[in-house]
Amino acid sequence: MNWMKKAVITTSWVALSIIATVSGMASAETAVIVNPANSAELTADDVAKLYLGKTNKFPDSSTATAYDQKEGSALRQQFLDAVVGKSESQMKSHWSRLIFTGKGVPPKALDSDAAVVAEVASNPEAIGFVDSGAVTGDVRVAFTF
Amino acid sequence: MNLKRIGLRTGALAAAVAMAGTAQASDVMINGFASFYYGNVMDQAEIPDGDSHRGYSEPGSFQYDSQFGLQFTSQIGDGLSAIAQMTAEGRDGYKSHLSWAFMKYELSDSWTVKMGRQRVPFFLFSDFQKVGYAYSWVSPPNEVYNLGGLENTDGVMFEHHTDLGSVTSRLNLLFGSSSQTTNFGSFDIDIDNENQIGMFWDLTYDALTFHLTYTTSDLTISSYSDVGNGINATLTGINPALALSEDELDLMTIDEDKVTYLGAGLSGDWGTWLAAAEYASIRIDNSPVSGDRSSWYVFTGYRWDAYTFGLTYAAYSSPNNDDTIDVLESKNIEPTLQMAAAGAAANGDSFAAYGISQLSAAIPGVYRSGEESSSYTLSVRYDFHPSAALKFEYIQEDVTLMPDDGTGDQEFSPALARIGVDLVF
Repeated sequence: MNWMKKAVITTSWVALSIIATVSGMASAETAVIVNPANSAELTADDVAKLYLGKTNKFPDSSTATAYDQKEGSALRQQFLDAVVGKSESQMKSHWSRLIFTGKGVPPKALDSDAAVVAEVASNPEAIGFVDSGAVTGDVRVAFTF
Repeated sequence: MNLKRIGLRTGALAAAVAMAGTAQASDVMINGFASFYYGNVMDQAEIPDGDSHRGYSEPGSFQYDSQFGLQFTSQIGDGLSAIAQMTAEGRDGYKSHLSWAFMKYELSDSWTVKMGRQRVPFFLFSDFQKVGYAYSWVSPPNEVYNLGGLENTDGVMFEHHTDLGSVTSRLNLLFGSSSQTTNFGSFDIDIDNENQIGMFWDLTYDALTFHLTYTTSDLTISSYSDVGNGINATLTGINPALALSEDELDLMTIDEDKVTYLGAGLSGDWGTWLAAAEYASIRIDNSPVSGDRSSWYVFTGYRWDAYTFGLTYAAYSSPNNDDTIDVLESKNIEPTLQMAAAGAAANGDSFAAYGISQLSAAIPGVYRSGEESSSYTLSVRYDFHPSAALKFEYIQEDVTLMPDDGTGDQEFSPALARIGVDLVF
C-alpha cells in the first residue's frame, strides 16, 4: 500500500512537472517592453540598433536607455538571435569594439525579468525584453516574438 | 543667530547631497582585455635578419603578443565623459603605460569632440587593434597595421555622425602631434610626428563598413638623422669638398619630412561569412625609406558553430629610395667610410675607427633596407567561453630583401605559428 501511494505521488509529480514544462514552453514568448508613456512604434530593426549601440534614440528622437539581461540565459540568447541577429559571443565582440574605443557603453544587464519590468515601468526612456509571462500592466509591450 | 546656523547647515547638506549626486553620476566603469600567446618560428634560418620575425624566433616565446589592458570610462553626465586606458605589453617587459587618456564631449546630436591622447583610426581595425577578442586574427595583418610607433597621438578629434537614409556616416577630423621614444633592441629611437592633420571617414550600410583615411604630418626619426649627419660630419672631416649638399643630406635623413598616409578599406560581416580588404600607402618625402611604401590584404572568414576559420593574403612593398642610393653611390660613401675607418685604426685612433665603422655598419639597415613580402595566414578562432577565445594562426611568408648594392636580392620564407587566448572582462 505504502509503496503504491509513493508511486502515485511520484507519478503525479512527474506529470505535474511535465505539465509545467509544457506550459512553460507555450508561454516562452519574449516581449520587448517600453514605458507606457512611450508611444513609439518599434520594429525589430529599431530595437537591434539600440542594443548594438548604433543609436541611443527611439524613432521619434526621444532618448532611449536599453536594458539587457544576464549573460548565458536562454531568454537573452533567443533575443539576440531573433532581434539583434548575433550570438552572445558576437555581441560581446561587437561591444568590445565600442567599449575599448570609448565609443559606447553596453546596455546594463539587470538581474531578472522583474527587475527589467520595474525599471521600464519607472523610467520613460527605458526599453527591455522579458518573458511574456512577466509582463505587468505597468509597461507597454512593443512587440513579442 | 539660530537661523544663520540652520542656513549654514542646510547649505553644507545641500553641498554634500550635490557631491554625492556627482559621485553617483560619474560611476567609473572598468573594462579589461588581455591576450596570452605563444609563438614559434618554424626555421630560424629563414628569418630575414637572422634574429627575430614578427617578434618571435626559434625556440618560441610567450612575450611578443601577450598583453594586459584596463580601461576606465567615466560618464560624467550631460554628454561629458573621461576615458583612460592602461596597457602593459609582454614585448615591452610588461611596463605599464597610459596608452590613452582623453575627454569626450558631445557638442550636439551630430558633433563630438575628443581631446587628449588617443588612437589614430588609420585602418578598419586600428581603434581596437589591441583587443584581440574583437576580431578573428591573433593580430590584424602586420603588413598594413605595423606603423612603427605612430598608432597613438596627442590632439583633438572632431567627429561628425549622421544617418544618410540607411547609411551611417562617421567623419573624424584630427589635429595632433606625437613624440615618443621607441626601444629597438639595444638602442632607442625618438620619433616626432608634428602638425598631424587627419581625415577618417566611415560609412556603414547594413553589414558593410567602408573606411577612408588621409593624413599628413611632419616626421622626424632620430636614428636616420643621427646616421645621415654622422656620415656628413665624417666626409667633411676627411675633406670639406666631400660634404653633402643640403638636398643630399635631406635624402639621408628623416628630419621634418612630410608624410602622407592614404588608406581605404571595406569589411563585411554577414553572420556566417565575413570578409575584409584594405590598402594603405605611405609616402615620406625626401627620405631614405619608404619613398613609396604600399601594402594591402584580403581576408575571408567562415563561422561554424563556435569556430571562425579565416584565410588572409597580405602583401607589402617598401623599396629603397633610388635618389638616396644615388647619393650613396655617386659620393662613393661606403668605400670612403671603410677607408676612413681603416685609416683611423692605422693611426691608432681607435675611438674614431670605432665610430666610423659603426656608421658603416648602420648603412645597410638604414639606407638599403628595401623589402617586398607576401604572406598567407590561416587562422582559427574558437569561442570556448562567453568572454574568451582560443586562437591558432599559421603565417607562411615570402620575404625579398633588396639592398641594391650589387650583391643581389636575398629571399627568405619564414613561417610562424601562434597559439593563445584573448579575453575581455
